[in-house]
Order: sequence, then structure tokens, then C-alpha cells
Amino acid sequence: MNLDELKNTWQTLNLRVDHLEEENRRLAARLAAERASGTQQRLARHYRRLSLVGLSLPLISIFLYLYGMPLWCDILYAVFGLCMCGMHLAFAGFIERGDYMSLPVVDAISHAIRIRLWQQRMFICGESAALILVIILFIQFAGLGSEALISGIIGGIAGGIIGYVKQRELFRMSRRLLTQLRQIKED
Amino acid sequence: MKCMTDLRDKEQRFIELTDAYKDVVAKVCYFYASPSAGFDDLYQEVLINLWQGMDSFRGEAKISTWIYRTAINTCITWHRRNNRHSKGAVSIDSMPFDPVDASSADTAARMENYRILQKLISRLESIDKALVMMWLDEKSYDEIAAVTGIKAGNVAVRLHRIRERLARMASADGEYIQ
Repeated sequence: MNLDELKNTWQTLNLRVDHLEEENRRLAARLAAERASGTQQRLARHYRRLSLVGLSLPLISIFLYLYGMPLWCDILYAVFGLCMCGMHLAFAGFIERGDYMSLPVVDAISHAIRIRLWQQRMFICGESAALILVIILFIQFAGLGSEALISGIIGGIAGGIIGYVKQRELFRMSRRLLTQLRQIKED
Repeated sequence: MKCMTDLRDKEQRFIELTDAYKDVVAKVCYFYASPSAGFDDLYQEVLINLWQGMDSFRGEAKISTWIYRTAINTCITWHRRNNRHSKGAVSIDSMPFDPVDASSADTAARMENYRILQKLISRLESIDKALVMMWLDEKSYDEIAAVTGIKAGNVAVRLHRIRERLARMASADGEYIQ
């Protein structure tokens, strides 16, 4: 295959770009008015919203206490919520601060993968802690009857499987890029 | 208010910058576009990241290097985050190209050659695509190294391997250059 001929082919094709000037102006106006945001900002907003979920747990723990749950259980629930809230806010800040798009490609991909791997670690730690907490709560709720207990367990398993499958695919992609980067660095 | 003036200045600088380098950004976006990640989506995403990076760019690298990096990183990250593999390329009929000479008998042959190139390159990994794209644009190994962060010597080795791989893929597909 004559790649030099293909290079000539590439260079003789004129890319139609005149219409892009209008697009540049339109987007500039939207960006200046802060009406457009990139994937990075959306990811950071996603984690800020998740932090609100964590913030709601201390409020729920008050109701649980009034409902008759042991105090130590309520405190554990509230602390878990606050930790989750803090973790998500910190991560959102980290994502927003990083201007890794301007880094050399290899470094930028490394940074993006580190973010991804931290997401995975947070997910695993969060899910593990949540599982322990849920088991403790279910033990306390066992007095309400087996139906509530079984429903909760089924819901937890279903949610866990769905979350696991989704996370695994995204994690696999990160690993693939990481392998590629390692090969480049070894060359 | 001062902040409104700064914002207007930034908007004006942004427009000047993107108009001057729209070819570069368009080429990168075209290279990474796929049926599931359209050119328009990628182009917009690159511009958003350029806007966000403008304030922190201090001239440590050439502007063209900065633009290339941002565009390539955006395209690679977009594919990764949106769980999209860049299998398959945008149809050549929807490409925003004008043949140099529409009436030339060579144009059909050149477009067919380009279709072959596009099909083969769509199967490359993200970083290899970046290398091939800059090689097609006749960037020096040093410039490619500055954009990608790969050492210049390794760039040459890697490009050589990519070319061999493209040739093997072409043979396997039974493609040939007219």
C-alpha cells in the first residue's frame, strides 16, 4: 500500500470550513453567557448533585431515630451521608480545576484515566460501605416483617447488578487506554 | 463593569483564535468523528474546552500545539466517556470536502483512495490516529512529540509500525490504491 499517495490525496482535499466561522460566533456568544458547558463541567455537576443525596441522609437519620432506630445506627447513617457528600464535592472540585485538555495527549489521557480509576475506587468504597450500612438497617428493620426485608434485598441486588455491569464496561475502556499508554512509554 | 469588558475581550479573542485555526480543529474532529460521535458534537466540545483553557494558557507552547492537544484530547475523551468505540467512520458522502477539481478524472480515484484510508484509520487506536493525522499534515516528529508527549524517536518508530499495520490491514481487506 502506497501511503505516500494517500498522503497526497489527503492534502489535495479541501476541507469545507467557511460555515464554521458562524458556528464559532454562535458558540462564543453562548459560552460568554454561560449557556454551554462541556463534558467536564457536566461530570462535575453530576457529582455535585450526588453530594445532595449524601446530604439528605443525616435528615433521614432524624426520622429513623424518631421511628425508634437505635441512636448509634442513626449516627452511622448520618456520618455515612456526610462523608459521601464531602467526597463527591471534593471530586467535583478536582474535575473542574483540572485543565488537562491542554496537556500533551499522553499526559491528558493518563489524567483522564486517573479520574476514571478514582471514580471506580469511590464507587467500590461507597458501595461496600453502603452495603454494610444497609445490612445493619435491615437487621434493625427485620422486626417489621419478612416482606419488607425481602423487597429491600431484591431491590438492592437488582440495583447492584445494573450498576456493576455499567461500571465494568466503562472500567474496561479505561484499562484499554491505560495498556496503550504503557506500551507507548515502553517503546 | 470591568468583568463584562473582560468577558467581551475574551469572546473577541476566542472568535479570532477559532477562526484562525478552524481548519486544524475541523481536521481533528473529522478524523475522530464516527457514526455515533458526529463532527458537529466533537467540534462544539473542542471549542468549549478551548474557551475554558484560554485563561490558563500562558504561551508555554505554540498556539497551534495547544490547539492540536486540546482538540485531540477532547476527541479521545469524548469517545471514552460516551462509551463509544470509534469503529466505523463517517460516510465519505457526508464529508465536508470539496475536491480540488470536480471535473478531473483523477478525483474519483482520489476519493476512492481516501475512502480506503478512512476505513483503515478508523480501526486504529485513538493515539495512533493522532499520530497518523499529524503525519498526513506533514508535521515534523518534534511537533508531533510536542503535541502527543511521545518522544520524537518513539514517534518515528511508532509511525513506522502503524504504516506496516495499515498495509497489512489493506492486504487483508483486499484494498488497493488506484
